[in-house]
Amino acid sequence: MKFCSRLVAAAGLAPLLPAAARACAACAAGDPKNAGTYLGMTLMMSALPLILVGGLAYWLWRRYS
Amino acid sequence: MRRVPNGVLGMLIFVAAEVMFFAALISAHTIARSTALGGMWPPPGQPRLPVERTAFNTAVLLLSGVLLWLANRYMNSVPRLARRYLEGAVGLGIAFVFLQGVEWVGLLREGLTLRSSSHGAFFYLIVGAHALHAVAAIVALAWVYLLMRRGRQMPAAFAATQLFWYFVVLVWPVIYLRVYF
Repeated sequence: MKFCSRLVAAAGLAPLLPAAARACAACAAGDPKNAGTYLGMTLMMSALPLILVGGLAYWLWRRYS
Repeated sequence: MRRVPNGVLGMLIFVAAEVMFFAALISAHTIARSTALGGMWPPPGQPRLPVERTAFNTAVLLLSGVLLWLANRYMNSVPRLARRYLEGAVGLGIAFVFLQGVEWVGLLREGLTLRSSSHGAFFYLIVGAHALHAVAAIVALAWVYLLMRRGRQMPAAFAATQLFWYFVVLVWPVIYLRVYF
C-alpha cells in the first residue's frame, strides 16, 4: 500500500521534472516538419479505422432502422 | 426493408481492410519522403516520375468509373446500353493497366528499380499493389459482363464488383497526388 502511494506520488510529480521524456528520437530530434508529418500520419492511421467501421455501422443502422 | 446482400457486405468489409492497407503504404511513403536526406525527393540520380503522362492515365481510370456508374444506372431500364457502358468501363480499365505497364518499362530503363532507392521501392510497391487490385477488379467485371451477356441476372455480384472497382478508381487519385508529386 505504501509502495503504491509512493508510486502514484512519483507519477504525479513526474510532469514537474525540467526535461521532457523524449521517447521517439525521430519525432522529437528531427526538424518540426518531420514531427508534423509523424503527427499527421499517426492521426490518420488512428482515425481511419474508426471512421471506416463507424461509417459502415451507421450505414447498416440507417438501412435497417 | 431491402436486405444488404452478403456479397455486398463482405465486399464493404474487404474494401475497408484494403483502405487501411493503402493508408499504411501511403503513410510509410510520406514519412520516408519527409525524412529523406537533405529533403531531396526523388533522391539524387533517380528519375522524376512522369506526372503529365500519368495524369492522362488517371483521367482514363476516372472515366472508366463514370462508365460503370452509367452501366449500373441503365442496368434495369436499358440492359443493352448498360452492357455497352460496362464494356467501355472494362476496356478503359485494361487501357489504364496497359499504360501503367508502359510507364514502368520507361522508368526501369531510366534506372528506377525496386533496389535503386527507397523512392523506387515505394513507387513499385504502392503502384504495383494498386495495379494488382485493378487486374483483379477487371477480371471480376469481365466475369460479370460475360454472365450478363448470357442472360443471367446477378445484381448482388454486380454490386459487389462495382464496389471493388469504385475503390480501385477512387484510391488512385490519392496515390497519384501523394506518390507522383
